[in-house]
Amino acid sequence: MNLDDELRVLGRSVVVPPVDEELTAAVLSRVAGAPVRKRLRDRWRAFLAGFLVLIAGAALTPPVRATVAEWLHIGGVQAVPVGTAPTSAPTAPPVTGKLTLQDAARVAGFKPAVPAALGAPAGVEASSGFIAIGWANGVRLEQFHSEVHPLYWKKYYNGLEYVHEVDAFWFATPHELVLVNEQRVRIAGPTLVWVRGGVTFRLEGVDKARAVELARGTS
Amino acid sequence: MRGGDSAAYGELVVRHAPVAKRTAVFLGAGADTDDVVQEAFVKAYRALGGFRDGASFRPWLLRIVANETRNVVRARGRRSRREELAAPLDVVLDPAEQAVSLERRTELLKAVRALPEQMRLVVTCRYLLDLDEQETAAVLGWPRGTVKSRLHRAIGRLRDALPDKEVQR
Repeated sequence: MNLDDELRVLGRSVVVPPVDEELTAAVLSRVAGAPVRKRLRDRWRAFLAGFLVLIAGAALTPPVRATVAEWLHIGGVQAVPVGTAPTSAPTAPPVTGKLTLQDAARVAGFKPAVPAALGAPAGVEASSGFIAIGWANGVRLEQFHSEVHPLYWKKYYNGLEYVHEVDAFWFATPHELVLVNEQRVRIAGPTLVWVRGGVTFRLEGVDKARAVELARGTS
Repeated sequence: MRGGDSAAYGELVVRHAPVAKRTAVFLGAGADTDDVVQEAFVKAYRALGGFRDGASFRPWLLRIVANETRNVVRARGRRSRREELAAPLDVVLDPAEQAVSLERRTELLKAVRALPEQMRLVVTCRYLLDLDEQETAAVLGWPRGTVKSRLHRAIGRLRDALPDKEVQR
């Protein structure tokens, strides 16, 4: 056996104690902006957080091959890379509901943020934790509570781009959009996705420059 | 990347924690190993914005682990190099491993520890952790050519340092 292989055997034979069982929960609580502590005070919370992670991982994620593109969750949206993609997309479905923004807030349980530049919406729909707003020029803005489970899978082929100015992701090409709970699929056009204050936003129906501008002006 | 859902990140933590911990132990984090690993994952998350698309997560993470380990070792390191080398080994070698005797492995480990820092790092990554050359280069932040040449010199030194050279068994 040569020296390289002896060293490999040596490396393998070093007994490393198992990973601290609170590691995942501690890391998640720190990156989620929870009160920053090195050790979680509350063991139960730690356990629960870890448990939810396991559930989410088991139920939703295909084998992670450890590239960012392959595991990216953006709030309530999970980006799933696929081999091929649709080449064109119909315009975003119009929002036909006629709720006022106040009513929508009551139904959804949170106050919607609206891009000031677009003026009065043409339609507003809402359900618990979810609001869709449409404008006459074809722009569609959805906002929903981000939870452990994604609401959407976006199957993208290529062209997922991080937009630094607004801390958002731009899906540059048409892609299949899967509403996870209802197994509903539609082809979505280029979309900007971002997260603010626990709410995920999807803005569809404009080009990238305009989307970034609108995202910046959404409050 | 504030947009990143932490649940997905949790999965990455679960998956990569063992190799991260192993790396920290091998690079000498000692009693600080768990803190180093936790800190590295938090830093990795915060630095995701600078992560190159399509790159592999593991070497990138391990590089952060290596840097964190170096920091704690330096902060701690008031012990002189001589004391350090004389100290008992703080890693446990599995006595059941048959391919190379426990005695020989102990010798090897001592010899690796006695190497100058850069050679020790490259041997640790390339052989003890069994990373490939490219990953080793990424973890240490060196060009591949440098990894090759330092590795070559390190192996030469080890050969000279070991009492019975490449015993055939």
